[in-house]
Amino acid sequence: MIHCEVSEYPLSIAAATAFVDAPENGAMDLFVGRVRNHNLGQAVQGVSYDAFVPLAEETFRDICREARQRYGEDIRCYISHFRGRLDIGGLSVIIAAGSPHRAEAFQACRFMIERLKHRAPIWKQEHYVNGDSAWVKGHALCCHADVDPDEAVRQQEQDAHAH
Amino acid sequence: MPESHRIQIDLFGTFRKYGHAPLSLDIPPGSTVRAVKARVADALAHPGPFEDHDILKVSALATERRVLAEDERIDPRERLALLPPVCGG
Repeated sequence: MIHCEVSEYPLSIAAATAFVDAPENGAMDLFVGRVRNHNLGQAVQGVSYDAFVPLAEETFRDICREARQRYGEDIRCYISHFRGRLDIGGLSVIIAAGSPHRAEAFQACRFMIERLKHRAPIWKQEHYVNGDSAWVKGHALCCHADVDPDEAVRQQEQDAHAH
Repeated sequence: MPESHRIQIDLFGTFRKYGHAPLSLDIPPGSTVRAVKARVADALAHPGPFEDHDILKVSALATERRVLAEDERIDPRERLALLPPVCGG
C-alpha cells in the first residue's frame, strides 16, 4: 500500500503512522522534515514551498514503487509534502515506512527521502530575518542521473565531517 | 498542417518572478524541448531583462506525468512546466 500527496494543509504524523501500521508489521520508520531557523549562516524566518503537484505526486508514487521493489513488496509507504508557507518548526515533509522487520523499514524510509530530494518537482524559498528571500539551489532534472541513495548517504556523511 | 502551435508553460520556483500566469509561446510543429527552451529566455525578457540563463540551461520541461528529454518533440496538447533544479524535503 502506498499513500502520496502534496498538501496545502498541516501535515500529520499521526496520519502517517496510522497508514503504515498493520498487524503483521513489527517496525515503522518515520522521517519528518522541519523548517529550521538558519541556513548557510543566514537567520531564517520561514520557508515557502512551491510544487508542480501532478508530477510531484506521480514522482512520489514512482519512488514508493521503487522502494517496495527494492526492499519488499509488503512495505507500506507514505509520502506527504507541504505546499505553501511555513514558520520555524513547521512540518515540510513526512515519510513513513512500515514493514515486518526494522531493517527494511529503515532502508525504505531513507531511500524515499533521498530520492524525493533529488527528483520531486518541489522548490523552497527561504525568507530571512533581514527581510530578504531566496530560492534554494537544487538538483537539475534535465540531466538527471539516477541517484544511488546509499551513495547519497555516504556523500552526506562526508559533507558533515568536512564542515 | 498548421504553421505553428500555441503552447502554455507553467513557471515554478525562481521563474515565478517572471509571472504567475503560464507563459504562452507559438512554436513550429515538431519543435523539440531544446528549441522551446531557447525561446523561453526571449519570451521572459519583458518588461525587464532575463537574468537566469544559467538556471534555464539546467532546467527541464515536463508534462504532468514525466520529465522530457532535450531532443523530444513537444506535444502541444500537453500541459507543460518549466522546472528549475529541485530541492524538496
